Amino acid sequence: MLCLSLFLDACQKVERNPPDNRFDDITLEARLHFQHTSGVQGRYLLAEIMGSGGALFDYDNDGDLDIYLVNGGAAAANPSDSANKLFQRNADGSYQDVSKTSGLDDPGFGMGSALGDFDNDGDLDIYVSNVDHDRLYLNNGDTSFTDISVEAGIQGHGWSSSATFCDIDDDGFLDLYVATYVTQEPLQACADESGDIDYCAPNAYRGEADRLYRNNGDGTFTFIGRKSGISQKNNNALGVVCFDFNGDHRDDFFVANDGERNHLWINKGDGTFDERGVAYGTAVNLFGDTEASMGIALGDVNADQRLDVLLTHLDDETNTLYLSTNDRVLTDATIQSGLGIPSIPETGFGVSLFDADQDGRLDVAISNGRVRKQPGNAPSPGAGILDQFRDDYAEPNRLMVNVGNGKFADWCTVFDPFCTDLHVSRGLLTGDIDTDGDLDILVMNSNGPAQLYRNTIADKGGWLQLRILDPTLNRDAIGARVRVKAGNVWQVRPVIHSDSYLSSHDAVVHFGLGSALSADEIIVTWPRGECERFPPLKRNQMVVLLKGQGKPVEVEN
Amino acid sequence: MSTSPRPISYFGRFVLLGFLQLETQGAEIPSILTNHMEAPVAQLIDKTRASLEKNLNSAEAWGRLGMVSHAHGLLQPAIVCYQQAAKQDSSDYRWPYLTATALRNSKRADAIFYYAKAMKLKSNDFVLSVTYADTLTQNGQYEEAQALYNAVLPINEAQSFALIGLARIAYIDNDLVTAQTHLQKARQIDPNDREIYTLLAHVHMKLGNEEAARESEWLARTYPHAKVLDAPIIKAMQSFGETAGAFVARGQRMTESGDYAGAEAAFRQVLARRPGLAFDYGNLANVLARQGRYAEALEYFERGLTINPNDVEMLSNQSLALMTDGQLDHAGTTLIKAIELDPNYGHAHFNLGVLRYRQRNYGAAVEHFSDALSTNPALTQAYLNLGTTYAEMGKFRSAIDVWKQLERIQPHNASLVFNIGLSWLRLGQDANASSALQKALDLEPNNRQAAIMLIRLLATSQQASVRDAPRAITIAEALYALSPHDPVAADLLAIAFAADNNFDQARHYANVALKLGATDRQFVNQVQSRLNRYPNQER
Repeated sequence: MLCLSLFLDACQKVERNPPDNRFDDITLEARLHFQHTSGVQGRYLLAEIMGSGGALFDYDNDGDLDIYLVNGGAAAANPSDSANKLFQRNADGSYQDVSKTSGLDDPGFGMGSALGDFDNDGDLDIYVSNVDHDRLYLNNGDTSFTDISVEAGIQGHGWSSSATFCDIDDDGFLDLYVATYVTQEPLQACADESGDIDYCAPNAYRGEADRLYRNNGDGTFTFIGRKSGISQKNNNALGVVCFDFNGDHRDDFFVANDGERNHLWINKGDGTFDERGVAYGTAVNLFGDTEASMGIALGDVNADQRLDVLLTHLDDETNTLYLSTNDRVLTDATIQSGLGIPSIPETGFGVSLFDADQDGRLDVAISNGRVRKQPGNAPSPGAGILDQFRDDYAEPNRLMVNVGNGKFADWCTVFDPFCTDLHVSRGLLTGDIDTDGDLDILVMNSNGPAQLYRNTIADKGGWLQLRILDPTLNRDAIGARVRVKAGNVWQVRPVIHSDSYLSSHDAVVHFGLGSALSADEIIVTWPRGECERFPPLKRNQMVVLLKGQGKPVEVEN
Repeated sequence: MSTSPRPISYFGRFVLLGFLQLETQGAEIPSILTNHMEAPVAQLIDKTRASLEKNLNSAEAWGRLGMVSHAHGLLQPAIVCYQQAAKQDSSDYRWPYLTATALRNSKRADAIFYYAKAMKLKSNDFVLSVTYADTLTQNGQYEEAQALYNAVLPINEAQSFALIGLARIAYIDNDLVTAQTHLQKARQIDPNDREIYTLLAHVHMKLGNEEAARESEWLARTYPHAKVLDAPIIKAMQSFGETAGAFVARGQRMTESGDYAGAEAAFRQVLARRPGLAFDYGNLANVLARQGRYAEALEYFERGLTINPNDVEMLSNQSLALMTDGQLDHAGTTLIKAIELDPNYGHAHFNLGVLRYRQRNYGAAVEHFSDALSTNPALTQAYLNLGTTYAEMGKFRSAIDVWKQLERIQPHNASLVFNIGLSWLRLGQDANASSALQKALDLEPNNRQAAIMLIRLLATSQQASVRDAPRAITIAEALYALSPHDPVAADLLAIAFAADNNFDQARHYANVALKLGATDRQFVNQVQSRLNRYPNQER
């Protein structure tokens, strides 16, 4: 057994054959030096293993994506080593740490972040979710941020996980939903089935109620959780996506709950929400089982112009694909999709539906990492605490290619660093990090380095990136839906900031055009339902589409 | 000595699993490192292994080590042992069945292979058939699953599971009408199964029936449990669990089944293994309270709350013990604290409602029972209590509205329907009362109180449309036949005959009632008074 392992290690040291690579690890080359720490000391406290996420956004408006990485608790000699970090991308593709000057070096025990221009001043602000106290940072517009949590009325106590900004009351200002996980009382370890010490499952604790804040439009927020109905249910929420799920042009919330029924909060338009997960088919899987839902991705996997939902889950569960149907409800289509069985041995967290090869079909990237040991996995003699942590919980990530009709196949190769690197992976984001038009991957690892993977897929199709702006609001039209026709295929993308796990990104939408030379039709459905058609666009460019500059059209929804 | 595999590359893991497949061909006892396990687990594994070493040709010995491993999540060694047991005794279906169970979550295709083997050895185990069919469905093998579900449909205990399975396959085929039909049938068999309503809500929604979807959705939230297959072989395997967690699960199962003494023993084992976890003290305290040992229960609640003073479940359960012990103020303070800690904890609201009811603070009781229901619709007892509180306040219409909601969940609850009938009576709504009381009697033919109220109503209602003397006579005769020495029964028969203008019979039974109830002066006066009013036909 040991010899076989050595043999395999030797195999991995063989020089990689570039055409077989899909994503190259450029972390070192980009000088992205970040080590996540969560205070792992052998106490097996749940918060140690759940984070973290991050954000990809252009914080300095220089046209490229900078990286914000959320850090956990203090375990390092230097406390600033456990603070969150902002990395500015330089022109040469390298990154420099600008955390201190930006003011985003949040010292809390971090979980994730949510982007959103809540004051409509044209730059992205950021909400940081922590295990203790959350913080809201206002973008000052000069590459610095100010913590305005107290003035804004954001007093988040308790263990926050993912968060999202969207306009729930159609007043033009982005409101804030904060998903919350569990209480941490008492701080304790648990045991696995063999009696070995391990992290507790969430059901060892009480779930917390999520929080909803209405943006008052003056830099302050009002907590409306109980009045809205959102805070009247406790749950173990880890992921949240805000979008219109029932076609009534009001933003709803899909909440991924860990070990409990997922919630689908339907916006009734009167300040209240109705939880309809059971009827809409998203509360449990097809077999009536609740699953340990972590990350969420939103995208049209079967080219029917309806947005589907992919959730990541624990090992011994599949990741679950809910297909949107023409009667607004969603159907568990995991079995038919091919996404299920490969995911069973793995614990998925971050997830992205993105067109990696730009063939017009959405592929899947998932960051994996266990939360419970394999029963019987004995400690490695002489291993340090962090090495043992990785031994016990690290898993390879997964890449799945969309082969058409909503079906997927495994896309990992033995030479693909994204698939072979072993870490306890958590947050995952895709974005055009190297500004070459295709989508790259950023992975945040628990008690490990953040890793940057550049898209090196050969023979990619053409691409088109669109920024969808509402000039009257001076920001991205969060909640809009963009449809593009290239060749004879329609594709659709949501305009959102937050999805995946504990992570958020800029709202530019990316389309792969395959062999088509242009996008022949472009239709934007703005958040409140108005539709505009924009002129065709040639491939391989990024364009800003402004509300009001297209031609109004009536489109069958 | 084999060690559990260290994390290696994706490709390497695939090769390693293949190597493990080869490894299972030999008769070597799998080695299990136990130094990181709880001591009782390690001891059990070592002891079972030692026993096997002396009996390598014994299927039972191999199977036992397999089950011990399986019960502690050690699936690879379990599978190896089961396969060796099967080699020793290829006629025992337990070994392929348990192998399939061990593989079911992680390797469905392999699990199916072993389920098929088990089925060949025992085709009439409906639990095995249903589990096999479920796994086939999960693996996309719908036709085979369908055949199995159909095969077990005639078996009563398997029916609802088979119908749900068939419904699921119909749903996958987008045959929603068939799915709905199967689920409605399943509902008639097992009206308390949450899983039925979960899928039914979704089917209704897809069919565009919003109202029915909402109803099923509500029922899915209200019924807390999905029905679970009772699998004796799996239970036998699980009984080998020696971890504290296994004893917790055992204790909880025993608590639910009412075996409080057994649960107490299990929870004491837990504390012996891992002193210091708050909810372990809470579990023991609960079963002590259920056995009426409140002083002991309160002592363990205190220990648990010393470790975690903010455990709302423990605070809530402690309050019940305090209430029963007569410490009402302390119970109230405890519950208020629980609610402040977690306003969404329905049980705390419920218990506070009970306390306020006992204190005759009915307004507050209504508030807390309502909060209990809005935070936890599965607390069906809260409907009953809320209705009772309203009735106590004289708000019979409100009581009826609440009880009618409970009737949607418990349509066969005779005492509930009876209460609704009584409330209609208090409101003077005789027609509704008659209907409800008749339903109560239909549900529970020996319900004396329902019969009495209904006879009186049918015989003497002021509303002509409600009066039905012949029916009153029929019910009164049935009551009298059951209790021929009961003066009230005789009197009611007299009343019923009088309502039918059959005064001869009325006089006859009134006299019978007078004889039977001669010692009760008030009763005698009432009957005599009625008797005097019956017209004398001879005159």
